[in-house]
Amino acid sequence: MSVEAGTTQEASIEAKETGGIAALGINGGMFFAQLLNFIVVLLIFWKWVYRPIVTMLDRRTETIEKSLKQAKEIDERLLKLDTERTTVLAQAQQEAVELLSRTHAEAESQHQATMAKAKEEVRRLITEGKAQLIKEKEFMIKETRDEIAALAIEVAKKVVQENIDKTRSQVLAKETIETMLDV
Amino acid sequence: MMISVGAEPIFFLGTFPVTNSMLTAWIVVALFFICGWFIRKQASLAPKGMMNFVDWVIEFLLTEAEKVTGDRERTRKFFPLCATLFFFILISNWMGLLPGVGSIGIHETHAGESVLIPLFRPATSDLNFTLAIAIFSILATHIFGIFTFGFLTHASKFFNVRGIIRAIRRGPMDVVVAIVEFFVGLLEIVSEGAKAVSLALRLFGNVFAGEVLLTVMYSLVSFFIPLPFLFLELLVGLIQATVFSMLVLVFLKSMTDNLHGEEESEHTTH
Repeated sequence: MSVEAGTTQEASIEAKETGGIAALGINGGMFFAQLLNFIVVLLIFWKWVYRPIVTMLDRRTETIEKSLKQAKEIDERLLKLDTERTTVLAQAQQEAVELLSRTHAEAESQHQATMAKAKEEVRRLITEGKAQLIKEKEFMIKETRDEIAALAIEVAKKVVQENIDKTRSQVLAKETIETMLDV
Repeated sequence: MMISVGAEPIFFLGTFPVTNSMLTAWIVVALFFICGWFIRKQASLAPKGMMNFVDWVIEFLLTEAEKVTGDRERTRKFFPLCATLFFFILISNWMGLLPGVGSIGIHETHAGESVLIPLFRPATSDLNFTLAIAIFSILATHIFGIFTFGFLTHASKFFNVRGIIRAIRRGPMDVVVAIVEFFVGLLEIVSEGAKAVSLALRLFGNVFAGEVLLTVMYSLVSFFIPLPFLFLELLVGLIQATVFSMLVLVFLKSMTDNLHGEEESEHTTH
């Protein structure tokens, strides 16, 4: 290497001494060799770096855009569902209120009807009871009269059949009255 | 102390001189090869570890390039070239700041004086490299121009014969204007050459000046004092890579911008 280096130094100095472009170190072979270096790097970058990464970036952008679109659609659908839910809920609430008020009204009317019916029944029962009581009272009075009449006849018979003195007649009368009271 | 403008040959492959900048360029190529292979293997929809950073860098550069071109499709076409320029220049520039680059070499005796020939030298401090990428980039702008508008339309930008023929139908004043435009087109050819040379010399000048500055600073004071200059060179390396790739992107954009629209607007202004 050192031997060659000695030769190269001489070549370099010789080139500089010729002046002009060579003094700046410009050399056709070196120019093309450096150009080749650059082209190699360009191809490596193009094939191995640029293409895969840009493809990946495009795919990623596409995926992100797709996801964003989907998310937007889902959002819209959710919003729509939410609106629908709110509408349905409001409708259900309204229906429930209507149903409740209708049920209340029906229950009230049924209550009223039942109450009226019950009152009517009670009134009828009272009336019937009263009639029954009067009937029984009349029957009892009639029975009592018959009893008194029978007793009176019994007393009269005894008065007629026996010689009753004043004291005895008073005792008999008293007994008859007690018997009547017992009845 | 001797700082050579040209890259120094280290050894010969047959008659081909392998310079220190060429060695560094090969290291950079090898680095890109390894990184490229790794990235190719790791690329996935859900990146892990370092791939997140790589993805972020590529995405960031794509977004920045799209800001310049204002067109997603064209950005996708130009991006590989501009991004490769950016990374190659950046890594080559920063390679010059690594310990050993410029300081490890072979001592040779010339005219009784011992001279250090560094083993490594940043590729961007070799005019062969900067010229090669500049000319390649300018040629690429023309290739893109031809692919966009076709050969004749693209060539008419520099040899505007079509304009003269059209002007003949319109009148003598338009013919004079068209002839002037024809010569302006010829001047454009010179400006295309100037673009390449300016790109090459700007990059080479900045990086070489940085190398010289660092070598001088290291030879004066070895510790601490060169640190700010190292940071400065880090920044210069990044800026130069950005400037070069951005300029190429702008050239690509201007070369593929609608010529028809330009022509129409030119005629309306006339």
